[in-house]
Amino acid sequence: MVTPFPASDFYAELEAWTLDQIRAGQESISLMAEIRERSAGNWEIEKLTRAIIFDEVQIIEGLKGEAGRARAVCEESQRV
Amino acid sequence: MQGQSAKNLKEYEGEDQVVSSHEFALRLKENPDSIIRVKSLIPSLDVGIEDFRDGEVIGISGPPKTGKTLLAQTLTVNFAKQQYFSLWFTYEVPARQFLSQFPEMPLIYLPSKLKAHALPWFEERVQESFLKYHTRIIFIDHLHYLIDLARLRNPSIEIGQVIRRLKTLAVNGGFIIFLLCHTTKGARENNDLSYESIRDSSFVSQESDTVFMIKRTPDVGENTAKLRVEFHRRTGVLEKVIDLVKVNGLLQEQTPREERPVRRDWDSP
Repeated sequence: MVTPFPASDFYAELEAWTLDQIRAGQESISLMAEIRERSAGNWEIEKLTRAIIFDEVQIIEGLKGEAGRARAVCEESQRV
Repeated sequence: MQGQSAKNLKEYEGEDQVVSSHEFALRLKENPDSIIRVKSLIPSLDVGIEDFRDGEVIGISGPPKTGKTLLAQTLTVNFAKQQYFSLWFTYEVPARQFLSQFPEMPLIYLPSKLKAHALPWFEERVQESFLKYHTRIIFIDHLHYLIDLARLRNPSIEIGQVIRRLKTLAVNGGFIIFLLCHTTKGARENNDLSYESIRDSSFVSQESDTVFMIKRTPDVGENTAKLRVEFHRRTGVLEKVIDLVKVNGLLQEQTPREERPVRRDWDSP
């Protein structure tokens, strides 16, 4: 009897988790943009929100690559 | 109008009550003059129009395959650099191709599935994206996908109504809307391309705050184009021409090459 390669489940989970993280990052960016807008003229808040948005964008970039790799491995292992 | 009705109006204090200019000015001071100000990062354009602000509708037009979408994509990337992320309705180019056209894909938002000729649907997605991602910049590629031309009896007037609705959406919601539109047939051959060449032009130009015309200039170079700011209501700029060049998949301003000193025979020792 052939059992499915467990790695595919693992990578499918990883991809789903990564997508959740990306969504969380986008929510955070949205929140920071809202705070930045409400505190227009307050340079400290503006600077802080800009820094957070910058970090979140970088994190999303990294996660995007990770999700893509997880999907590729998942598809590959399903083929096996 | 008599009696009770007149008395009610005299004491009316609703949000739309009539006030004096002085009171109005004081109220305006309490609020910032604009929610969002974003630069194009194309130097001459920023000098001319200062920035893009909420409530503005910007028309981008030009003959087919002359760089309308590329200009819009360039602006998208430049806005993302300033941490303003756009919402795109890419009707003309399939989403896969559209995303692959970015040399480095920026963070943008787009509906998973598009619905053409459905303005209420469009407005709902704009609100959805704002509530979820706080997006204030919207690109529509292009205008005629919002309208069912086949069902229109008088396209020009009905397009006017659609653009007025977009303008109202931009003003009330604090959005910046970029509207890509085609030119009339034969505009490609026309060297003096102006906003009058826009298809159903009168209403597009009447309701927009500014109109950009873009045209490739193969006589100058393979990857060059000319951007013309037809008019800009806020700053009063008229017919300002900016030379652009495509570098690494995006447009940027073409700076004139520094002239090298010509070496003459009598310069040599």
